[in-house]
Amino acid sequence: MSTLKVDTILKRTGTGTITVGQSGDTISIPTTLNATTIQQGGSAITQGITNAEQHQQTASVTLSSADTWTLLTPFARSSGSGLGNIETYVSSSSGIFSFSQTGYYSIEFFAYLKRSNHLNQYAGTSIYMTTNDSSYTQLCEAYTNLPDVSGAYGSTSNKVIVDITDTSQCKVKFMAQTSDAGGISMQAGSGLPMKNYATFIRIGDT
Amino acid sequence: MSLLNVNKIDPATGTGLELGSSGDTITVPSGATFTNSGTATGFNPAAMTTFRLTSNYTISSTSTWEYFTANLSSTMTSPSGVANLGSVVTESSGVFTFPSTGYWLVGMNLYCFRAGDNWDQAYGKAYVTINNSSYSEFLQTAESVNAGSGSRETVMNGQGLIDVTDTANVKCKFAIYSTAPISVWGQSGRNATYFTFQKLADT
Repeated sequence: MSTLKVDTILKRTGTGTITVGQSGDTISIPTTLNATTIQQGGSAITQGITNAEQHQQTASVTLSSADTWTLLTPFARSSGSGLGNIETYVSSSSGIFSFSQTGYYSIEFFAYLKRSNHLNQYAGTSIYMTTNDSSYTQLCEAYTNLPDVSGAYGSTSNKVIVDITDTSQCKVKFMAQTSDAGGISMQAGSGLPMKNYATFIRIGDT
Repeated sequence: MSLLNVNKIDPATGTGLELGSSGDTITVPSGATFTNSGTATGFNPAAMTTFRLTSNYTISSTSTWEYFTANLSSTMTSPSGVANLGSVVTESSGVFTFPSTGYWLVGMNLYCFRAGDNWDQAYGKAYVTINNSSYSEFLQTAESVNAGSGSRETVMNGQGLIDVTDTANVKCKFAIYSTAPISVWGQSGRNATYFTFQKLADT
C-alpha cells in the first residue's frame, strides 16, 4: 500500500472537479473516524442516524394511588423477529434511562392502559428528565379517558427531544397516573408485541 | 501546510483508496460540492414514505382481525408542502415492501370513529415477516370509547424499528380488531389513518 501524506488536495489548475477513484474502487474512511468529523462546508454529505433503539416495559403494573405519578419499571431492550436496534447507547436500571453518548435524542413513549374494575375519569403518562441525576422535571404528558366498562383500554403517546449534555447527569424516566386508586394497570410483557414501550433515536451531536 | 494539485486520485494498486486516519477531519470547503454517483455507506441514507388510507373503512366483522388491504396511497401531493423522501415503499394488497435494506422506523396511526355509540375494545396491530410468508406481530395498541351523541372518535398509534435485511422477504402489514362495528377515517388529501416508513440507517 502506498501512502501520500498531504494536508490539502486541490485541482491541478483552476477550479473544477477533483475525482477520487474510478468505477470499481472503494474509497474508505477508517472505521474509527467518525463520520461527524467530515465537515460540511459546501453542498456535501450529512451524518446518518448512529443510534436508534426501543425498550419495552416487561411486567404489567397497577397504579395503586390516585393522582400520583408512578415510576414505570422494569424495562428491557426490545428484540424479536424482524426488529433491530442501531447500536445500544441507552440502558435502563429500575426505570431510570441512561445514555452512553451525549447528543440530541428524540424520545417517544407509547403506553397501553387497561381499566381494573374501577371508574377512571382520566389516566395519563409523562416523560421526566434530570440534568443533575437527582431532581426530575416533567417534559410532556398525555391523557386518555377510559369508559366505565369491564376490560376497557386506553393509549397515550408522548414525544420530546432532549439534549443529553452529560451522560452521568442527564437521565429520563417514564411515569403514569390515574384519577382513581387501583383503577389502571399498565399492560406490558417481555415478548412481542410491544405494548408499553419507548423509542430512542439519537438525531445529532449536542 | 503541504498542498497537492491533481485532477484525479486512484489507488496505487488494487481498488482500495483510503482518506485520512482516525482523528482526522476531512473538510469539504464552502462552495465545493461533494458528488456521489456511486454507493455511499455510513452516511445519511434518509428516506421516508407515508401511506394514507384514502377512504373510510368499516370493519366487516366484529371481534375479528382484519388487515388493511385496499385504498392505500403513497401519493403525497396534497395539501401543498407534503412529500415523500427518496425511494418509496410500495404496497400490494396491504403488504408493504421496502425499497432498500436498512433500519426502518415503521409507524401506524389509526383514526377510529363510530356514530353515537360506544365500543368496549378496539385494537391495532403491526406485523413483520422475514420470509415473505409468516408474520409476527411487533406492536399492539388498544382503545375503548364511551357512548354518546355525535361521532365518537379516538386514535391508536405506535411504531417499531424494523431491520430490513432482505427487501424480498422483510415486509409489513397492519390490522384492526373491534368488538363493535367501528370505522377508521380515510382521507386522500390529508393524514387521518396513515402509515409511515422512515429509513434511519443502512443495515
